[in-house]
This record gives sequence, C-alpha cells and structure tokens, in this order.
Amino acid sequence: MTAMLVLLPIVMAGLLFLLRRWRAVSVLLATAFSLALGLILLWVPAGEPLRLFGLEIVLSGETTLLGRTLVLNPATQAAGALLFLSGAVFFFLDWQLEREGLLVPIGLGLLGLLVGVLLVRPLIYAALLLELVAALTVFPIHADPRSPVRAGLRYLTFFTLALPGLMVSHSLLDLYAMAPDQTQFLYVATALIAFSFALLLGVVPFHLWVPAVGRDGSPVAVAFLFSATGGVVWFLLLDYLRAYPWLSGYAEWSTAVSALGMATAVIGGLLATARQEPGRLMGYMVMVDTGLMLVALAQAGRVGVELGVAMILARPWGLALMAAGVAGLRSRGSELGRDLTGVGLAAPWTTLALAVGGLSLLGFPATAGFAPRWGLFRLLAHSDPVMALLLLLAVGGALIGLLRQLNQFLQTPPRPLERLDGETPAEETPLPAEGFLLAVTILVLAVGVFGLGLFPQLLSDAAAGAGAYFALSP
Amino acid sequence: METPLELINRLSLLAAMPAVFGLLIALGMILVTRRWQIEVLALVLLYFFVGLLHSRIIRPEVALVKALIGWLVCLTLYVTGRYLDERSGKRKPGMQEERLRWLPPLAADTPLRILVLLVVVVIAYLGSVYLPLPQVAAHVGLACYLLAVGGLLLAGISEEPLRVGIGLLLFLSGFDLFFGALEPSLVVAGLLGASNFFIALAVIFLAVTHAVAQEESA
Repeated sequence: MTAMLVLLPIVMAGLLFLLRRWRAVSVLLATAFSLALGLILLWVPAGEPLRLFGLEIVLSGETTLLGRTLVLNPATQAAGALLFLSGAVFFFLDWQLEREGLLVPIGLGLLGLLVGVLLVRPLIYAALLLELVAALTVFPIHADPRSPVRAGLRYLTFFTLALPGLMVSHSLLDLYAMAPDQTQFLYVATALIAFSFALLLGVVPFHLWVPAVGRDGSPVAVAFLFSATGGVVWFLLLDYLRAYPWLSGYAEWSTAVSALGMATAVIGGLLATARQEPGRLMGYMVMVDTGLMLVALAQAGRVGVELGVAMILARPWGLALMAAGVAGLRSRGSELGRDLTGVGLAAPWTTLALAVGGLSLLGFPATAGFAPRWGLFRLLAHSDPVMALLLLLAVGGALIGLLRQLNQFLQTPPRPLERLDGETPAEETPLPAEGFLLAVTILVLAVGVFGLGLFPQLLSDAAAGAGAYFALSP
Repeated sequence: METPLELINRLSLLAAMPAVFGLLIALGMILVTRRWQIEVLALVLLYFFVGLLHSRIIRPEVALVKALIGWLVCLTLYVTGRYLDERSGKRKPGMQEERLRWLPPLAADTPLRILVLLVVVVIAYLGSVYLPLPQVAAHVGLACYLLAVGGLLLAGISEEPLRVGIGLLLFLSGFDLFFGALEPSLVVAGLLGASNFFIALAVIFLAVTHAVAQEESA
C-alpha cells in the first residue's frame, strides 16, 4: 500500500487531466480521492490491516518501488496526511475561485511526487523528485495567462539551483565515510546542504521568489505551493538532520540557524508593513513564518522540532483562507477594472477569509497558528529576550501590513470624477453576490482555524509524534 | 562494420579536448546571439559535445540516451520558437522590429555579452584549476564549470522565458556531466533526464503565456 500512496495519485492525475473539460466532476473526484487518502493516513496505524470495501489495506513500514526503498514512519505518515487533506481543501477552493485553474489535474500528481519525496530513501532521489515537483508547479501557478511570468521563472531557477547541492552532498558524504581524514568533503557537504535549503525555504538573501510568486501567481496554487511543497521541504530538512546528525552537532549550528531565521522574519515583517498587493503580503507573511520556524528549529532538541512541525501543520489553514480572500478580492477588482479600494464592502466573505487567514498565519490568539508561536516566544523569553522582542516586532510589522490592506478594502470607494462636459459619470455596475458554496467553505475553514486555536492539542499531538521521531541532539 | 556505440566510443577517445572547445563555441553562440534559431542550433551542438564527454565517464548507451533527451528538448524549444514567431507574425511589425530584422543575428548588447562570455571562461578556468571537481578528469571538470557558470549567468541576465530556460538547461547539463561520474545509477540518470524535460516544458509554457500576455497588453 505504501507504494500506492505515490503511484495512485499520479495515475489518478492522468485520468483527471483527460476529464478536465468537465471541471466539476474532476474537482469532486480529486477532492474525494485526496480526502480519502488523507483520512486513511490519519486513522490507519502503520502495520495494522484495515478492511475497506472488501479490500485489505496494510500501511507497511518499508517497501520498494523500482528498486528504491520507501519508508513510512509515524512522522512521514502525519506529513502525508497533512498533504492529502490540505490538497483536498485547495482543490475545492481552486474550483470555487479560479476560472482557469490547473491545480486539480496537476496538483494530484504533485501530491504523489511530494509523498515520494517524504518516503524515498536514499535522500538523493527525494531531491530529484522535488525538482520534478518544482517544474510541474509552474503550470498551476501561471494558469492565468494575464499574469507576469517572471515569478514562475524565478521560483524555477531557485529550485533548480538547489538541486546540485542536495545531490552532490550525498556523494561527498559517501566519500567522507570511505576516507574520514578528508574533512574537506564534510565541510563542503555541510555548506552545500545549507545553501540548498536556504534556496528552497526562501531564507534571506534567497527570499526573492517568495513575495514574487505571491504577487504574480494564482493565489490558491501559490498557497498550495507554500503549504504542501513548503511543508515537504521542511520535513526533508528534518530528514537530513536525522540522517546526518553531525549537521546539528556543529558548535555554530544554533547561532547560524537562529540568525538566518531572525533575518528572514524581520525582513519579511519590515517589507510587509508597506501597503502591498495582497498576494505579495501573503508571501511576506510566509517569510515571517519560515523565519520563526527556523528559530524554533535552532532551539535545542525535541521541543524546537515539535514547535516547527506544529507551525507547518497550522500553516495550510491560514494560507487556504488567505488564498480564498486574495483570489476573491482580486477577481472582483479585475471585474471592476480599478484598484481594490472598497472591494471588501461588496465581498464580506472573502474579506473575512483574508482577515482570519492572515491572523492565523501571524499566530494571533485563538487562531490555529497561536499555540506554536506562544510556545516559541515563551521559550525565547527565558533564553534570548532580545530575539523574542525582534520576532514580535516582525510579526507586528506583518500585522500592520494586513490591517492597512483591510483598511483599503473596507474604505468607501472614491466617486468617479465629474466629466468636463457636465454629464454625470456612469455608476459602477454592482458586483454579483458571493457564491453560497464559497461562503460555506470559508465559514468551515474559519471555524477550523478558531477550533484549532481553542483546542491546540489536536495539532500538538501530531507535532509531538513527529518531534519524537526527528528529535535532534540537544 | 562499427556499431553506433563503438563509433561514439572511438569519437570520444579522439575528441576529449576538442569536445570542450566545441562546447565553448556552442556556449558562445548561445550567449552572444539574439536569434532563437541560432540558440537552439547551438544547443543541439552543445548536447552533442556533452554526450561525447559523457561517454568518457558513463556507459556509451546511457550517454547516447542523455544526448537524445537533450535533442528532444531542443526539438520542443524549436517548435515553440516557430509557434511564437507565427503568433507575432500575425501582428503588424513595429518600426523597431522591422529595423531589428535587418541587423545581424547578434543581441543589441553584444559587447556586454562578449564580456559575460569572457567572465564565464575565466571563472571556469580558475574553478577547474583551484577547485578541481573530484572523480572527473581536468578537461571534463572544465566543461562542467563552463556549462554551470554559463547557464547561471545566462539565466541571470535574461528576461525572456526561453533564454532563462536555456540557461537552466545548460546549468543542469554541467551538473549532470559531473554527477554522472559520482553516481552512475540508471535511475538517477533517468530522473535527471525527466527533470530536464519537465523544465523545458515549464519554460515553454511560460514562454507562450508571456507571449499571450504581451499580445493582450499591446
């Protein structure tokens, strides 16, 4: 069954590509399929048989596919469940919000490849699969032909540049194992791994692709990229740290990762304060989130990993809502043919989605993102209060950006200027009301965000399981 | 009578260093010229020389498959270039385009591009001397550096999706040449080939999207 987690979504993606003309059918099939796989991964314990429609399913710990080993452990099982469940939400949102979305047929294949990245051993194949994911993600990101393509090119370039480092480091470490006196192999491999993950996570100074993709890409596909691919990159980093424990054993490890995380969060927060295009603001918020996750990882041992995993588990909730808000407001702005001032008054549900999603992404109290941030700030308040303060300021900067954005959307739009010939200018055609299904989806997601904020143990239990598996040496 | 694989093997023995020179000329054509047709032709030549160098490191049949993947990528780029030309041909050419049509197929910023080529050669030479790549011969290391640095700079200085894509493909070719010596696994070779092909598809998609967006804004 483990190999099927990789193969089935890819085969299904091929079938759905043929059905893409019947969009409702293909979306509902993709959503149901993704939801089913997510629930199986969430509820079926590894190694125990489950009977489903007369079929016996066993999620085995280790299996082979094309001669390569696939390993399913509690952490990868939780990550796989997160991927498929968030995939189902994004597919449904894509149908509701994007007229020309390509996420549904391609996204399911991407999920299969991303699960492959999580499961395959040795890690060299994970890097190659991630490159395939990067190339295929360009299609849904730029499904709207009017969007500038520079963001997609930048994203593809950064991911391609990250590939050699991950692959060569693996071979260099093999060489080092054969000749332990050749320490230069070890240093070069460490530098390559650090450089590659900095590119993949969008760490300062390699962050340029993150806000660019947010600004130019289709919001739902971009949220999928930041949640699913971003989450898998995070788990891949944890896998590297587990496979090569000496990486986190360097004396400078904690300082370097903390400094990079803080720089990413602070710069993201600072840039977010300016009133931005909402997609770009989403990119800066993801930078703040990534920075906080890196700072959490730098904290010694299991707690840091747990906090980082909890943040990555909370991220899709905030991003899905924010993407719904950005896509809804953008489409209304383009229908009106002017900037987005006052658009929120005619679209209360999408404005609510943007507000709640943004607050959750920033870790506002009573939202899904709050608990891990609270844990991190409590940890830092004892060990490094200055850093805690700087990170709070970074979050505050992004909050200012969000509030300025909401203020623009909720302002009364300017009246058209009176024409010189004395004629009264034509009134704007009122926009159609938001769809019932979209409103219900946003409401369900918002309730989920507040539910996870009030009952954070749902997230923290999953994070604790992953933390136990990936626990780094203190 | 020699089989194609034996012929490739003999050619690769004869043409180790000349292949690096050929590769440099093809790289120069890509970096300096302005016409996509010449860039694609240079890419075809470049994949030939990279294939020859590959056959010194890995099994000739695998090297042949890698070259074939490269040529398939060239074919897709050529078809896209033709399609984009036909699309733009439907519009009435502006004065600027009319003037450019009569210029030699060099980019407007040719002096800068020649300088970039020189920088690529200097960095590649210094890299191969002072930071030699492990497990590969010196001339193969030089070729890897030429391709990787050339591809990186081309992707960095270009705006058009097709040129950025060619830069990324060059960068990956350089890496592939080096990595073939480190990890001669067939699955790795296959996945790297698939990566090349998917990147080419993504770039083609972006090039067509870019053209449509430009037409709409015109």
